[in-house]
Amino acid sequence: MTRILWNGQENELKGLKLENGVLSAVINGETVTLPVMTGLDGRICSAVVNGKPEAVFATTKGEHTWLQMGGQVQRFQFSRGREGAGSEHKSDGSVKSPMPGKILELMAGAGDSVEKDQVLILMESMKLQVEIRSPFDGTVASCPVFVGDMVDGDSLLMHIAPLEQERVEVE
Amino acid sequence: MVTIDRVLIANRGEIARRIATALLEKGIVPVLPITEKEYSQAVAGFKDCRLVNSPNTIYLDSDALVALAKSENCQAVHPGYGFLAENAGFAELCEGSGLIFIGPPASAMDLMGHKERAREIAKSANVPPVPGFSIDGQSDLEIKKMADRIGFPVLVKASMGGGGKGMRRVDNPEALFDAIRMSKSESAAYFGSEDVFVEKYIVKPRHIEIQIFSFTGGRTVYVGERECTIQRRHQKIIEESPSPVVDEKRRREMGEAAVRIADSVNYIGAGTVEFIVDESLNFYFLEMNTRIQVEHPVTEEVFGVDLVAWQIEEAMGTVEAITQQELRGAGHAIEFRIYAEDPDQGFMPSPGKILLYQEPAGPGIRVESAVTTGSEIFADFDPMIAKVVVRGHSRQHALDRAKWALSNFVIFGVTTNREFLMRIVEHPAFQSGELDTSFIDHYRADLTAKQDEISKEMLLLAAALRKTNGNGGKQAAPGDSQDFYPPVNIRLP
Repeated sequence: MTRILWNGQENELKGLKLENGVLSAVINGETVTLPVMTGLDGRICSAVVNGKPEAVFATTKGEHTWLQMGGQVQRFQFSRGREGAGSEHKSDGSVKSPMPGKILELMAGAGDSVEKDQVLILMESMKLQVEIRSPFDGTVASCPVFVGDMVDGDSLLMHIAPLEQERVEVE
Repeated sequence: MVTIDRVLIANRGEIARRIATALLEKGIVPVLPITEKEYSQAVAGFKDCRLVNSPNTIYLDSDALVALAKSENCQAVHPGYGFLAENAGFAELCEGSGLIFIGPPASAMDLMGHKERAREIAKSANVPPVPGFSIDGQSDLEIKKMADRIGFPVLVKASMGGGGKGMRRVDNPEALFDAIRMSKSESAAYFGSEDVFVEKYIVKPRHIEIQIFSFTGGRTVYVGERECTIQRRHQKIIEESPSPVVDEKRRREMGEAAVRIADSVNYIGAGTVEFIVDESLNFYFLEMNTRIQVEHPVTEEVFGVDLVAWQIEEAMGTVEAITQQELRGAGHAIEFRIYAEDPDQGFMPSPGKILLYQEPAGPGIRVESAVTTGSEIFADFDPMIAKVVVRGHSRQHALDRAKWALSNFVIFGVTTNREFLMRIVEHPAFQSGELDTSFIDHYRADLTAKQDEISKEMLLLAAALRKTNGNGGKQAAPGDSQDFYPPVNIRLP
C-alpha cells in the first residue's frame, strides 16, 4: 500500500498495474483505470482523458513526484508509513525563512514580547523585501541570526515562546 | 568600419544568451563574466562562448568589467538590460578606455537617466509628461501643497529608478511622507541616490511604449508600439505588439513624439519611450529607457527586424539605415515572462533547483532562456526563468498559440507563474483587450488557482510515472523497496 499526499490530503493506492495499455489501481477503496500510451523505452508519454490524448510529463526527486498534464502541474508526496504525516500546522513557535536570502533587519530581539502577525524580520531575496511575521503572541526565546547573514530556505531565524503556555498545550 | 571580433557581455541569463547568439551570427566571440556559483551550470547554455570566472559583484563593478574586457582583448561591451545598462558613468568609462559601448552616447543616457530632467526634455519636445514635481530641496509643507495641487492618488517614484523598485501609490495625504521615506531608502539601496519625485496617479492607465532606433547620421525610426499593461508589483509580465487599442493614426502620433524626444538628445541606437495612456487614449511621457528592453522580441517578431543585430552593426559602423516606410508590421506577437515565483503567495520568489526543463517548440513560438534541467535559480538575481514569445496572424491566433505553448512548457522543481499566465490568457477581459495596469489586482479572484480536489486519474498517473520515469530507472527513491510498487508490464507497440 502506498500513501500519496497531495495538498495536505492523504490518499491510499493499492495494486498498481499496467496491462494492455490500461493503467489501474485501487485508490481510496475505488478501482480507477486510465488508458495510457508508452514510448519505446516503456515510459508513459500520454494518457487518454475524456477521450482526448494528453501529454504527460513527470519527474521524481526523493519522496516528491511532479506531474504535468493538460498544462497543470501537481506535486505529490509519496510514503509507505502508517499514521498521518500531513497533520501539522500548529506552529511550534519556530520562525523559519520561506526561501534563501539575506537578513536585512531584525525588528525584535531575544526577550522582546511580540504580537501575532507583528513583523519580526525583514529579508531580501531576489531583490525583493519580504516581511516575516510572528505566528502568535509571545516572547522571542532565541534569535540565532544576525543582520547581513545569508540564510538557506527553511532555516530557523527566531523562536517564539507562546504567551500563555497552558492554553496552547491544552489544545 | 570598425573591426570587432570579441565583445564583453556585461550581463547574465537570457539576455546574455540573446546577445551572444547575435554576436556569434556575425562571427564575433562573446565573452561573459560568470559568478563562481553559476559557472558550472552556465556552461551548458553558453558552450559557444568564452566564460570567465568572476566574483559575485562583477555585474555592478564598472572598473572590473572594463579591466576584464581589456584583458580579454574585447573591442566592445554590450550591457544588456538592468545592472549597468543605463549607467552613463559606465558608458563613459568604456569609451575612455578605448572600448565601444554598444548603446547610446553617455550624454543621452545621462540626460534621460534622471527622470525629472527627462520630463523637461519631453516638454521641450512638445510631448507632455504626467503632472508631477521633484521633492528635492522642498520643505514638507511645500511637498504637501504641491501634492494637493496635482490631487491624490499620487505616485512616489525614485528619480533614478526602474522596474517598479522604489515606487509607491499613495491614496491620501497622511500616507505621503511614509511613502517618500520608504522610496528614498529603497532608491538609495538600489540606485545609489535618494532623489524621489511625486506625480499624478492616472486611474485605469495603460503602459504603451514605442521602440525607436536612431541610426548614425540622424535618422530615427519608430518600430511600432508594445502594450505592457499587464504588470505585477509595477513589473511587466505580458507584453504585446500591436496594442489592441492603438490604431494607425495614434501609432504615428506616439511614434513621432518618441522620435522627437530621441532626436532632441542626439540619441543613437535602440531605445524605448514609455507612455502612460489614459482611458481616452491621451498619452503622457513616462520615461525613456536607453537600452534594449526585456520585451524587445515582440517588436522583432511583428516587424521582422533584429534589434540586437542592429545595435551591433551600429557599433561596427556597418548598419544600413532603414526608412520609416520600409518598416511594416504584420500579425501579432505576445511575450510572457516566466518567473520562479508563487502568484498565490503574493508573487513570493521561489528559488531552487530545476528538476526538469522542457521548452515548447513549434511554428510562431520563440523561447528566450539560459537555464536547463539541473540549473539552480538563485536568490541573488532576478527570478525570471524564461520568456515565451508567440506570433500569430491575428491577436486571437497568437492567444491560441500562447495557450498551447504555455501548457506545454515544463518546469519542475520550482514554483512558477506559468499557470497564472495561462489563466490571464483565458480571461475574457484579456481576450477582449480591455486592460489597465490594475488588471491583476482587479481580477485576482478569477486568476487564483482553485483546486481543492485531485482527480484519481492524476494520482494513478503519478504513482505509475514514479515507478517508470522516476530517477530514470537508475535507482529507487529513498523509502522505496522492490515490492513497494508492483512491477509494470511494458508492452511495445
